[in-house]
Amino acid sequence: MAKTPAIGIDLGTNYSCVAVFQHGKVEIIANDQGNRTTPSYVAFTDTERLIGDAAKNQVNMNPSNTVFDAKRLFGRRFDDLPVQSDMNHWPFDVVSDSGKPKIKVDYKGESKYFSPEEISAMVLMKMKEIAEAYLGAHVSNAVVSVPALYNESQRQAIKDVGTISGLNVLRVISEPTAAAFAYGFDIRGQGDHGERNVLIFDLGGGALNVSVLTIEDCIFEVKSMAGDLHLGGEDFDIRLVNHFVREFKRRHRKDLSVNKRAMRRLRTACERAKRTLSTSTSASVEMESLFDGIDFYSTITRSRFEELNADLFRSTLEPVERALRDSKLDRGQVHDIVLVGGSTRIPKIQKLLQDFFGGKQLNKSVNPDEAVAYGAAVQAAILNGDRSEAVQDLLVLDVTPLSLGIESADGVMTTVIKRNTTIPTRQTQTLTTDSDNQSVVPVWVYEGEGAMTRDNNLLGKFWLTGIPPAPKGVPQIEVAFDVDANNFLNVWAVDKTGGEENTITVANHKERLSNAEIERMVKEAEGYKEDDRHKDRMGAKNTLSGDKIPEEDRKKILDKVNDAFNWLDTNQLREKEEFERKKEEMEVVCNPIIIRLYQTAGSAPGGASGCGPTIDEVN
Amino acid sequence: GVSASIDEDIYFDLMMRHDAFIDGLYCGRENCYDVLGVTRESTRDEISREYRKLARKWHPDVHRGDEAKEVATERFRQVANAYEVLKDEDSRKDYDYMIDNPDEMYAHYYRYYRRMYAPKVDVRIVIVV
Repeated sequence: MAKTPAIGIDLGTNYSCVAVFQHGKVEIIANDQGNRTTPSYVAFTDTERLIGDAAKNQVNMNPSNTVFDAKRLFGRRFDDLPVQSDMNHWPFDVVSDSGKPKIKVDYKGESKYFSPEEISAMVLMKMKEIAEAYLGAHVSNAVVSVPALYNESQRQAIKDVGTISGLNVLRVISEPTAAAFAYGFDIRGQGDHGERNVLIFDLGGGALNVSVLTIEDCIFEVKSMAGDLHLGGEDFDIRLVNHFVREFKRRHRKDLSVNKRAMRRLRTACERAKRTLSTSTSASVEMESLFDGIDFYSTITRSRFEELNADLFRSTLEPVERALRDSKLDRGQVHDIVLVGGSTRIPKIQKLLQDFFGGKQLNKSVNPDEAVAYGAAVQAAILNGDRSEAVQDLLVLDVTPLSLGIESADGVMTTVIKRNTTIPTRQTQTLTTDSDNQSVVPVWVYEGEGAMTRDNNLLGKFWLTGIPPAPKGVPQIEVAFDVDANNFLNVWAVDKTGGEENTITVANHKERLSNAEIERMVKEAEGYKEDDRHKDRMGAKNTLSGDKIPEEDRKKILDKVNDAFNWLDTNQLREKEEFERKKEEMEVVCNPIIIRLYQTAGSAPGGASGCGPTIDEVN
Repeated sequence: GVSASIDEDIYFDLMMRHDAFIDGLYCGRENCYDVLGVTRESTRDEISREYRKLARKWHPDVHRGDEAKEVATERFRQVANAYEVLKDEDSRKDYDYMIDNPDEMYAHYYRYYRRMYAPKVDVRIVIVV
């Protein structure tokens, strides 16, 4: 092999996926547990750091130190409304570090503060390692996907995450665009060379992405993108959780939402119930001793679930309408509606979408969980210079997701580049002074669709100074906006009447990490990796010598289990209460050992189910 | 260059009336049709096809090395910009009107900004002529 291939990573809100293109095809890479997707979870314990399956497996026991949803904090300020509302549902603490959100955890007995970028970098590093284990080589280049509506600072943040995790991010690609590649590969085999209009509907755990593309002769021309950065499976879970919290209150007059662990267990159960409801018409939730020793058993029907989420489900159509309007296509001109993302398995959402398109069949040809990583891997191969016949003809013409502009008099947003403009692009706008002999012109750069800048997101500001004295309206200041293929913006301004030239790379805006911060994080990330290596060695040693469970503990468990089996053999006809008492007896002995095991080994395959009766929500 | 299929008279017309083209509007001093190698008679589909052909040639992703990418990016921006003007029926109509009525300079600015940025821009604030 000439060089190590570049990989494609779908860094999801809930799950991440890594893929590589080699030998003419895309391979989705399974992790060390054999799973093709890896939970975007990072957990901290007294002894170690866990990432992926190992972190998610122990979430119910260690809720306040198990971090997920870091992606929802990207490029956000602590005070932002979505951050404040999400915080109510997170069992871990988020604090403000001079306006930036930081996640607080206890790690090795100390309080530690991590930025969302650092947490995501840990996940990204894990994905990188999964790929390296598969390829047997060091990987340095990757294409990483982001939600379509991610703004400039959020895209920059992803690039920083790459740097922290030791990856050179070749391209920050929009998720639906990546998914379109997966679809495009599929139709190419059918020898269809006409122009096809395709709508990608990508509803994942955290965000909704919609894009409309025209595909012809292997050129993927993105016409429009729309979405909702805060709408996905997580929101449906939360509706279910709230439903059961209310039910619990009604039945037992107790508010279980004060207990983090109970809430986390309930949420895990709700996530499972939601999945069940995609294939069955009802699902049950069963939790022993959920809160104050009270067991909680309940069922929910699919129609009740749909009712609880009716407004959210309906709102998924808004971005579809907007994307169509922007693409200037009618519903009838769309050849294929492609479903991507786990939440598109929900029957009601499929129904709404299908009805919207007049009963047209939806296209389910791509794997909803893997399509984005698949497409990212294809783009990675192209950008890495893969000469393989399968990819060399492919080209994507992507667009800007949001309008970019500057503030003119009275806070008016003057658009310089409108949304859905093909990138790379450069546009200019001429400004002038609004008072006599004005020598300084402020250039404030915004993104967003509001008519007034106060409704949009400030990306950066600079001042063009040294303008020669002149009556108002005479100087001509040309402001140029340059957007590259990553959707990164560069702005500069020139006084055309012969003055000063000022350039800003809008990279230096407030939400972004400074270079010094990134440097520090890179160093620290290496440090954590050192810890992990030590842990891996210990883990390997333990497995080898077969003493993962200390001898005395093993004996305790075995004795108890044998005891239970003997009891069961002779007591088949006892009352329910007696079975339960027996089970509790066993849990008293087993659970502390199992929990300790989790904390030292990271992941115990099969969970606690190996010990006595199944504890429902822990498999 | 100019496509050979352009009628000689129209070509002559365009050259003589180059003042119709205004810096910063549409394709600047260039003719959007020429940039894409199409004519005013070309259909929307023909324009799309030519655009994609040129995009495949000049998109920076198909070039290697910083310098080659830089050159390609510059060309791609022009091509994509011209397509942006001509792919939309309304903005193409405005553009044609500008070519046909070079003397109505202010009107061109007005139409351009209304089309490109409406309703966000107060034209009085932006335009400096």
